[in-house]
Amino acid sequence: MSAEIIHFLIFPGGLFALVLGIFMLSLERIVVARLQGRVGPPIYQNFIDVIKLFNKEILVPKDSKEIVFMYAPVLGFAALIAMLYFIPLPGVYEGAGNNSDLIILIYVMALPAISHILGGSASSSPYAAIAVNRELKLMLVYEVVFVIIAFSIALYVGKGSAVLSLKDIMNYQLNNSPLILDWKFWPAIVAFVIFVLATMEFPPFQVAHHNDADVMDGFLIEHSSIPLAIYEMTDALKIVLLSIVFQIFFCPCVIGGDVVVNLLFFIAKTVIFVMFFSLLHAIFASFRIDQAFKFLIIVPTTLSLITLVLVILSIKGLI
Amino acid sequence: MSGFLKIAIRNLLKGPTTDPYPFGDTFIPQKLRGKLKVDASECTACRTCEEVCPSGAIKITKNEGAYVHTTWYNTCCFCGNCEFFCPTGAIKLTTDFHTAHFQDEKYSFVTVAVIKETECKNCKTKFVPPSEALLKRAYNGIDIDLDELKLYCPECRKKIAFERLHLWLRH
Amino acid sequence: MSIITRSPFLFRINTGSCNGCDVELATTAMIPRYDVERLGCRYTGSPKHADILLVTGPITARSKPYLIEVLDELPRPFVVVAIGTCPTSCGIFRDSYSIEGPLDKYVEVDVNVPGCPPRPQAIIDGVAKALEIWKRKIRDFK
Repeated sequence: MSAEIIHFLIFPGGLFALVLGIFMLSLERIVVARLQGRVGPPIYQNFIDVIKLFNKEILVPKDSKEIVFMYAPVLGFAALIAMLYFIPLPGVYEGAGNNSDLIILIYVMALPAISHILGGSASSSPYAAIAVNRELKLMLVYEVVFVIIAFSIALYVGKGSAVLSLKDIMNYQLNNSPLILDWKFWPAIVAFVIFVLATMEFPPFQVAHHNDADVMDGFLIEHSSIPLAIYEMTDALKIVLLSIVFQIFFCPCVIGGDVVVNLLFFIAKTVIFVMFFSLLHAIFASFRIDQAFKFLIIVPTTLSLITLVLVILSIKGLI
Repeated sequence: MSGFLKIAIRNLLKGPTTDPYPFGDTFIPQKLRGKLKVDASECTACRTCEEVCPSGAIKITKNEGAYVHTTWYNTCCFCGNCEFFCPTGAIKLTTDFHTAHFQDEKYSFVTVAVIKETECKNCKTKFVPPSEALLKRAYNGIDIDLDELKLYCPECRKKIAFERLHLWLRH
Repeated sequence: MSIITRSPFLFRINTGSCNGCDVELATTAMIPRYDVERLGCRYTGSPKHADILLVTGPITARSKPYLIEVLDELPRPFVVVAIGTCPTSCGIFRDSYSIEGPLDKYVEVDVNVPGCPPRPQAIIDGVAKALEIWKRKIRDFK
């Protein structure tokens, strides 16, 4: 019982993922700064940001729905904390999931965006309304992409009957070769990269958030202090969760059986994952919302469908 | 995108180009228009700078035995008109750009130059002596003892000059 | 407690400025040469996230209500920095019919950075001075 509480609150969910994620967000800022020829903030920058936000005054707009406004951030945060308890870490943690945690994952990936939408729309700001509209439009498409990718992997691993257990997907790849080396999944990897960019709202999908020239701070515009800090921590957990999901889906490699070595290997892979997205962050300009929507509905959807078709063909034994 | 990628990789390899300013030295261009420097010995308190200053930053006030030349930077627009129009070249704009200050120093953030008056050798009235540069400019190429002329007030100087002219006409 | 002064979020408002100070502030301070992110600064899009308010421009009659609105929306403790000569004393616009006076009529200004426009290094100096005041204000706020 106590081991489960530790898994839930300290390691690998809860505190460990939170601290790792916050450092990863700082790392992302530093790498972007270096790619732009700047020095960038220190590595503990986002940590101080979060601590500072807890020490500020909470402001609630007069016309807002106060309960939703105050507690919507907790929804996404709680969902991600819970998901990090369910999801296995390759070589480190078995995961508390049962046979169908892929379904939970698909639902949970939408919850941070839903908490953004709830918090933004409860804040009664016109900027937040525009940003919520955009977030919804993006979410409509990128969730579909994620579902198609997850479904094709589940089909491929189960040889026709979908395997909805993340642990089984991981073990299949540990026993056979990782899917990143399988050419059938390369379109899906590109689609997954685009999905991560869209769900983290990095450029080129920076249309609803931190887009000062367009919608100011989007759905976060009225949030201050603790709700804002919780959104920031949700982002930190999300980047860790996305890194874990990428590793489970495509490359759950481990070195030997030692937990500590595997943990360090996992952190190294997360760092590379974050650095890759920082590179994409630095070299892309932002889309307009209509361009982003068209791009998302054409490119990643097509790529993931190509993988799905290839997977079905390979199950049928045609390739 | 590929263009940005090229630039990003080049930046990564070259390292950051950030100026280490708050912690180190910085580059200051030679022609930067920063704070004023008023040379009190050159200034004759002619009030040209006060007249041409578009933002009313320069004030020259008359005190007991001295003129006080005050520049309040909180309204100065660093246009350099005072330097341009100064007949004696007493005002020079330095390259000092450190203008940030706290609110309680707002009204004391000034450059002050005190232009002392001297007594006339002849009639003992107080006056601001013409500066070396001004005399050089006024009596360009005329062979007069400038040091002697500086000691008299404008009235006495007029008289001396007239006497000298009278003497010259007599000869 | 002093560690949190290393994370100032900046919000800037243009109250009828000629854009000279805004160019020095928003673009020059973020370019690789004068990177303010080194000090932990980040420009935010909303006054509700801000710790340091940077004001440029003499307060014109049109922009005054918006300035007052923004001042109400800042979460305490916050620091106000006047960037440029205009908010400090209205500078060359001082007697115009459409100018509603210097910034310290409406809010307690903490740091002034005169200049037309101030040099980016001077702005960084101003932010550094604002951090000292912010540290004091946090201590008093608690």
